[in-house]
Amino acid sequence: MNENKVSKILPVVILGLLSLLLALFLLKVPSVSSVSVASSIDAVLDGSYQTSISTWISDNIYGQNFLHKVYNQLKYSLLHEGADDWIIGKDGWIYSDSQSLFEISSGRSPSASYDQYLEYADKIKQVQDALESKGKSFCLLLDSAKAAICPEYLPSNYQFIAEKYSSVDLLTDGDLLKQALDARGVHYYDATALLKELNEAGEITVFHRTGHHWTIAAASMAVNAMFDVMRQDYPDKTFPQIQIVGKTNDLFSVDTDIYDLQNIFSGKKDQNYDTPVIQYKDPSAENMFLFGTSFGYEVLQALYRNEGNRAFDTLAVYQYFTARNIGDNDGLRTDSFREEQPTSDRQIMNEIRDSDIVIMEQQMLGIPSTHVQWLDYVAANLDSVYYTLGTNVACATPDQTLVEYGNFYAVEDWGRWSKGTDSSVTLYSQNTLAPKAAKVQLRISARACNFSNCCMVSVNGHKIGTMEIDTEMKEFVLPIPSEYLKQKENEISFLLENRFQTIYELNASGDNRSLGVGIGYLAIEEVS
Amino acid sequence: MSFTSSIFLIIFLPICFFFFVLSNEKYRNPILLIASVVFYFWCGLHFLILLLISAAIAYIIGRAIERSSSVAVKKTILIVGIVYGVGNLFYYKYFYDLISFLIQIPSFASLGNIFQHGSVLLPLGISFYTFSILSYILDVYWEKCAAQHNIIDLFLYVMFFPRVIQGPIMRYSDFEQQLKTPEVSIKKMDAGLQRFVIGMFKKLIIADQLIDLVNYSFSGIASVGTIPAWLSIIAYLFQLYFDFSGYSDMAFGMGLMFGFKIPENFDHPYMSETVSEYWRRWHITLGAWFRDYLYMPLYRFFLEKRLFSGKHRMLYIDLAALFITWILDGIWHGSGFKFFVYGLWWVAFMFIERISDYHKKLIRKRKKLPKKPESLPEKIGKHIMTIFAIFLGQIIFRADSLATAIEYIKRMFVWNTQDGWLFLAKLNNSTVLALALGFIFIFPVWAFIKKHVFERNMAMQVVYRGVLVFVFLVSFLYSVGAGYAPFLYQVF
Repeated sequence: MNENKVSKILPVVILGLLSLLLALFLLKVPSVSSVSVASSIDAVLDGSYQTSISTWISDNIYGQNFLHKVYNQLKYSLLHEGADDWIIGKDGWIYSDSQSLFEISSGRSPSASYDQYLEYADKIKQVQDALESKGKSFCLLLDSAKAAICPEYLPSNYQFIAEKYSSVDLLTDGDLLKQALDARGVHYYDATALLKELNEAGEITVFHRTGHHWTIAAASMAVNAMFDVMRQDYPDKTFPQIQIVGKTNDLFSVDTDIYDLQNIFSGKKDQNYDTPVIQYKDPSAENMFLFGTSFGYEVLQALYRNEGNRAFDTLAVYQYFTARNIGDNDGLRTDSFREEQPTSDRQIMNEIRDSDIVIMEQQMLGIPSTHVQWLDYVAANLDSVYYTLGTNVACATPDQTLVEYGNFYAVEDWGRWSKGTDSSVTLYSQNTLAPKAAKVQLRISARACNFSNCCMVSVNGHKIGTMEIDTEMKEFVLPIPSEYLKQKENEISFLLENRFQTIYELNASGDNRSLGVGIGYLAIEEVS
Repeated sequence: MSFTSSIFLIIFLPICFFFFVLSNEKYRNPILLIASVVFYFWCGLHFLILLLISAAIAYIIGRAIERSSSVAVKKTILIVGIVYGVGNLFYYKYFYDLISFLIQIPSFASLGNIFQHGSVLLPLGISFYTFSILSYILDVYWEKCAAQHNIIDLFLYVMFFPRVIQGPIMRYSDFEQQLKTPEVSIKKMDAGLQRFVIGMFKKLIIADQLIDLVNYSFSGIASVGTIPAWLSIIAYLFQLYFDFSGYSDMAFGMGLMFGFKIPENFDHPYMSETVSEYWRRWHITLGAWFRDYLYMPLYRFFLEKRLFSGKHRMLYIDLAALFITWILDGIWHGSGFKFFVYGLWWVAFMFIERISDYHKKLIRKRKKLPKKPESLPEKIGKHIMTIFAIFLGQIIFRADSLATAIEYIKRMFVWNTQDGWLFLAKLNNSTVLALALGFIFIFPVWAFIKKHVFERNMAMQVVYRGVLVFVFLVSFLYSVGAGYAPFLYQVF
């Protein structure tokens, strides 16, 4: 081979490879979704649109998943490393890096002070008291990260750090949290000791080798132990017992929750994991609400196997972070949320309202902001969540859980404008608003934005009357046949006869909203 | 558009390359200019417009200087050009920092009402392309070269995509000849790709793997222990060098592929015996720019104006020019007192070296002694002092402020184990491997292996290409799998 031929190797191979990838990308482009970022001139000027195109291309290059897999495999096999937040321990055990590091060093420098934990415990106690006053039972389920239960497989450097810090005589985050909970009288159950015991006994797998979540079997044992404690605290409630009657021999090479590592080609697949076959002794007729982290998913699996095999009459699960769309089956409702989506969702309050047992689950890795949000929300809304007969709903107040506005604009200082011709207001009540024999009426103040108009009012789809509205706010009283009312939610709908010309169309203002009927207040009340 | 991003490697580079290779020679410069416009458009249209205006002003000023016959007019036009370039740089880089400093002084507090929006986004590469523009108009003014009449060629000089964001800074006189006759050959493509692959490797496999270790200490200075502080600064020296030299290698390689020889920017700087030598080996083109366009004119100015007298006047002139040059070099890197001290730090060491050399020379001259080679302890002592200067100087460079730099240095030299053993968690295999591989390039080991092993015969040259293909594939995997980490110097 002469020098000229040698010089051709790199240009041919490298530029050929890049050109091949370009050709494959161009072939793939028609089948992938377009860039989702709007191309405003500002975005082009500041380069953010170009950046979004770069990201889109990077996400859609041909074989991207394959390249990720090869990259992960390379790091895993040659460097014995996981991607992003994952570390590889001994014998291929996978741990969450941040959780493990927190777990092994929190004794050295806890993430929050005792006073902050006391403040957190105060919030939990406030919610516990509020729930108990409504006849509901409450318990905080504490679980631990994998590094705390299975430290023997941690990578050597993490083990070394753990050993160094275990000798330091300082309180860990877990110690501080539990001390604060004890000081405030919060009902809680810490599953750590049980999980360690189960792990040492080796009868069940507590943590999968390649997952960072506890197993369904471990969660079942922890939940049983928690129910034992709750039976004593709440003797009037019935708690089921989870029984593991067998196991299936499923193969979990990698926990599917670990997105970055699931691309690894060849984890050690010689180890099968046991999925428990579960039955429930004394299934409970009560409803349970679970609020927790992604570890709550295994609690869910422990309490609900299918429609015919479940621990509670209904189980509602709100799980932080992961978005497993399990769907709403008979007896099961699941949802997820993230930090950036605060829990100001009326549905959560409805679930809590319907529940008899409320469980909050968390790990002992500091004070989770999501849980603080949830506690604040429950504390603020639990008492005022239901609409009761005679309550005056002032539409100028911010959103409340007892009422939901359908097709309305944002709140104004006198009330709210509906959008266009159709709108509704739904009132949520705990039980029936009025006995069948009672005479009730809707008292409402309403106005039009410019010309007079006629507005038909219905309750749960039944017309109850009309309001002749004009620009002045006026009060109307419309009788409601009590049979029109439903038990828990009542929808009052408004239908305008004519669409208003907007003030924008009338050149009277720059406001181009399509205003409909303006509502100042409304109330369903007994006829005096 | 980063050199290591998918869009650059898979879309931009192949398309640009094939249009370039398949086109007639006379269209190659326009094609490269279009590519450069597209490349810089990715930084934002606003910044592209600014760059085009700057290049257009450089073109007009160059032509105007050339056409003018009066020295005074030429000088005035030159001053206009310099004021535009420096003013542009000052506005985007320093103006709002200066305002926020001034409004803290009661008599300037009202400035806060006038300049309310607080800051502007820094156009990528503004420091680099401004220096290219200044180089052009000064070279034309000094008649080192003729003004460029072909607007495409001048725009290409300012905007050439391999070097517009982060250099190397090219003097116009070096680029001018190449613009006329860009040589494209398979050998150059081969050599260019070799450098490009090495650059990718340096950036992705070495520099980016050290980010966590460096961030560990620099983002938690309040609790960092002595050992991690030392480890992290060593890692940072590696990260900075391989990030920047990786970029420069990629730029150099692409330059060759498109027929241009871009100057080298690094020459094993950590092997330097003195601080002056370090700066001749580190960011070579910036040092050369400051030498040619600031230090030398200042030196000449002080000499002509006879500002210093006495028998040591040549030393004083040298030191005065050096002082101003290095303070401005420090400030070129960023606004704020930290960068002023950064410049001061280096110039202090250079003063020591210059004065020491000057006195040695005087003594030799007085005693009529021959120049002796340095003894080994002397050499070792010099190396240690240089490494010490580099360590502490780059701490000032990396830390958020001067106060944090001082705190960091304190933690390096006052023994503490405050963070215990936590730093061990950051010493994973990738980090250790990156540090180990780093030594191959820090010292001329790779150059030695290449020369004595891979270039021995044709068979080994084939093997070498095979190794580079493998290195490219691994680097490419890292670019896709590990995600994007920006080049460190692009913010200057």
